[in-house]
Amino acid sequence: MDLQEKRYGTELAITVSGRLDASWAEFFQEHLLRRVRAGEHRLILDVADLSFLSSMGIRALMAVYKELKAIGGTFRIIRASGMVHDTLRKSGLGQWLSDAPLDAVTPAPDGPAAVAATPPGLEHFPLAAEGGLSLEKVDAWRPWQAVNPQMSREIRFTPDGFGLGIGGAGETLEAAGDYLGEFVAFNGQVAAQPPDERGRPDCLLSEGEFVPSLHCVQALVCRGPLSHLLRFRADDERPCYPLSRLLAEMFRVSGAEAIGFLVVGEVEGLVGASLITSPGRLRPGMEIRYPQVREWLSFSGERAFAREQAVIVGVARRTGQAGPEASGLVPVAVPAGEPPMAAHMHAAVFPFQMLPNGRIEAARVAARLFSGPPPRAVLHLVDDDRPGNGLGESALYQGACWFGAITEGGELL
Amino acid sequence: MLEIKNIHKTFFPGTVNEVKALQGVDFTLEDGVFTAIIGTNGSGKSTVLNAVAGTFEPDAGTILLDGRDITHWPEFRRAAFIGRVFQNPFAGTAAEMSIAENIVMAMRRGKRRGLGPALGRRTLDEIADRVRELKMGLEDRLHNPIGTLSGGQRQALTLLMATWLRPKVLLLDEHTAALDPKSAAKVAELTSEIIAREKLAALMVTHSMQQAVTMPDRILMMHRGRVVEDYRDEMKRRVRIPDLIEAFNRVTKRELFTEPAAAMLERQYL
Amino acid sequence: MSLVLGAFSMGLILSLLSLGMLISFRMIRFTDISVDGTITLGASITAVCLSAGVNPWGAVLLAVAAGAAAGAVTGILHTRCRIQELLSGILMMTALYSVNLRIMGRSNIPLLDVPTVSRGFEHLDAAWAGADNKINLLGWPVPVSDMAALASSAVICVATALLLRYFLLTHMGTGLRAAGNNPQMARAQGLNHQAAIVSGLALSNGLVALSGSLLAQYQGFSDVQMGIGMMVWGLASIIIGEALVRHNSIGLVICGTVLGTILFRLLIAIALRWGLNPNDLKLVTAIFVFLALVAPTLAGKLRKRLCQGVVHARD
Repeated sequence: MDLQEKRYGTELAITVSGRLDASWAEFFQEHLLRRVRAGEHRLILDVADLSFLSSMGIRALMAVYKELKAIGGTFRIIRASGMVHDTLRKSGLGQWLSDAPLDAVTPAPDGPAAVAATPPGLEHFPLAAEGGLSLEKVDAWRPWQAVNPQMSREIRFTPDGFGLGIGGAGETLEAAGDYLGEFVAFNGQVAAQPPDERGRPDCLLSEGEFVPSLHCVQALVCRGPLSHLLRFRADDERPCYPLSRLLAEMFRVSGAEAIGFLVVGEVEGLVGASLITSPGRLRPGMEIRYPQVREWLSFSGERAFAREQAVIVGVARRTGQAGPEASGLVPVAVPAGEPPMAAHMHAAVFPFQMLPNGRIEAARVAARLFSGPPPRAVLHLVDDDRPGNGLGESALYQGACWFGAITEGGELL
Repeated sequence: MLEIKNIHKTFFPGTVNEVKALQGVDFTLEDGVFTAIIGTNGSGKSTVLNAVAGTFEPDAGTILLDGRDITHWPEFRRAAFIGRVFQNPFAGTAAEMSIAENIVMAMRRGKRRGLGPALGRRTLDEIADRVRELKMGLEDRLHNPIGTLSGGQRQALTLLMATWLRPKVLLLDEHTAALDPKSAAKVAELTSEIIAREKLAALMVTHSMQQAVTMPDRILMMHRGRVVEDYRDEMKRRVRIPDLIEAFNRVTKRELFTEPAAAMLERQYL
Repeated sequence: MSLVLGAFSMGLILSLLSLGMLISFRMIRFTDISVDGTITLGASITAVCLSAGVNPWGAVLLAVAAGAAAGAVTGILHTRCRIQELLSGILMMTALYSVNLRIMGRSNIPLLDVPTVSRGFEHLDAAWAGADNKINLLGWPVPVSDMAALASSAVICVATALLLRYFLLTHMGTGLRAAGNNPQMARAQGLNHQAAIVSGLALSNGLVALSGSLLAQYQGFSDVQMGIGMMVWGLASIIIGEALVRHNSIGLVICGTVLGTILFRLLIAIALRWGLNPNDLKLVTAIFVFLALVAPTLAGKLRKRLCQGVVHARD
């Protein structure tokens, strides 16, 4: 089997020759999915020189087709003849066969086109013309105080908001006390890391009348419409996007002093920490220093979760007078020429899923992720700025940022 | 029952080559439980086995076998109760002696070796019968020097020798690691078979996650001279290779959580 | 003829030395160089005992016991006191030099007209002897005393060889061999490796002392210097024996060692007859052993090089 590629406008034509059978199907499927992952959502398969197509080959084609269909891509087969044509038609896959010339199909517009004047690799879509986010904050607990009931507030995660923090699910704070850990919430869906190294992150999803709620000792929750979408894609010039770069772009686009945001993207590397013992187990008078802190907190130790899909929820502001202690935000790395910024971000890591191109809806993307395979981890992102051997900040290859200005409660930051 | 209590061992203490091989190893091996020990290189897993076998005396701690303190027993005396198979297929047999002579050594493990002829007709018949069960065709070559056999065959015979007299504990030190894949599979299969049939208590050091997941009843994971994970019963039956890898990652992560990292997190983690 | 006969007798007596060294060098793999001292120990004890009128068999037994004790001490030096093999042997050998002088009281005891073990065989042989006190052996007239010496050494040698073979095939003997062949395996099979070395060395040096005892009786004297170079002779004999049988069945190895020793003595006798300076004997033996030790590696290298040559030629 042999594969060759040629680009026609927005479409990528892949010429397959030889036999597409069980020996080659897996390789073929992986190759095509790699292309889809890299953003090629409009594929043409030129099978003029394909001499044989087995059922294993069809299965591979089907896998690619399903993936493209889920993200709104297109898939067609051209120049099929003889046996391959017969096989496809008789298998009921005749709708894939196309006689249209190579560059005849033009992309259907996905809503309003991207606004111009963004740097290359970025696309900006304005979403809601008016309205901002209102911020709610729980900032009672700081490491490593003992938790008491006054610190906690029960927060219901309704579909109109998103947030992050430390909390646990349970009837009462007492019941949740042993399970306080990092969480990420979006659109009524919560991914939480139970504080146990061996444990797997859990999900709470809005279903019918059920609304997930957590007892939170720390939380930053935004409610309201997200008014901007920014798509980013790595290219030769910019191999990946550090979060500070994305933050700077979001500030620039929104023109706001404080923003709330949701980022979904393919991970280059995440650096962060998460609780491995619930702060609910802290007792008054306990001194947690190194090395005991290793019993309470786990540090990713490397740039982790490469090539997975991360859902990052955060709140950020351009730093003014307020110090980090008061605001609950920590200064982040600053790209050259940008004003200083501070942020608090949590990430939930899911197995990779393709995102459609262009303008996409946050709720739909999140729903797909949360209802799929369970998350692999939830962690508090940090900027490892140790000189010399620091791991740096988290970065993504490509994805989408939804964000909006915080218009209410911004003084809390 | 083998009880290992807080064993410490430092090799070359006070020199540049100082190695803290065991730093408080503590576990109990119940009768009839087949346990695998996994761990990174230099985690002390083979050292634990050697401590049980008596290759060296630990600096601190005790080893009890059926309640008897064997910590200070010499290696050969413990051999009466302990069967061993080494990683090196050449280590467990005497190359220049015949198969039968090697086996007859094992038939007297822990017993007096008198002035009676070692290989009588009856003994030879008994040896031939047991060797036939290996299905390697070695029963016709009992008088050949064992050095003429392949590594896999020698390892199978070493295993047979180690279990000829039922040992209270069987020690397997990566005994399939030096074999080609086919022989390794055969020896692993034989190991499981013998241990199950004789209901032996066994400690197996292995590098193979596959073996650790499929063969034993219990998995101990070691790191830096300590037992860091202990999977047994339902937990062991649930565990899969990714879980083991995840556990290794946790250990490494902990290692990367250094003091400077802690200082950085103090500023960054709220 | 008496030359051949002498070589045979001498060979049979020294084959006991070779068998002793077979145990230390080949079975338990211990490079025991105290042999030079123990053989003299056997000889000097025998000489003193015989001079004092002790029964020759009693003297032999005493010599064997002393040799075994010396071997055991060498073993203990190595196993308990953790002294290197070679050094343990050297220490023992050096110490034995003084011990032997002490036992004999002087450096040389002649044994003239004392009863020896071969005397008993003279009576037996006398039955076949003619008037001139000679036996007709394949047409040659041989003195009864020579014949008796040959017969006695042959009987002792064969008996010892048979006993040794039996022993090495017992459980204890198997253990001993295993301890030498693979100490780790031996320990794993519950064998006290150190005890095996000590007892192996005791057995080995007992045999060496036996050889020394018979040698003193055959030669008719004991000299404190007589042991020098004996180890190399024994080694040479073992090597020749191995070349003769090339098999690792115990019986054949023992046969080979005995035959090797006799052959070696015959070669020496012939060489001396041809005019080899007796002073050069030890040098020649040493060179022979050296060649025997190095030749296999050299041959291997040579073969390899030749094979490579062939490959290159084909390229």
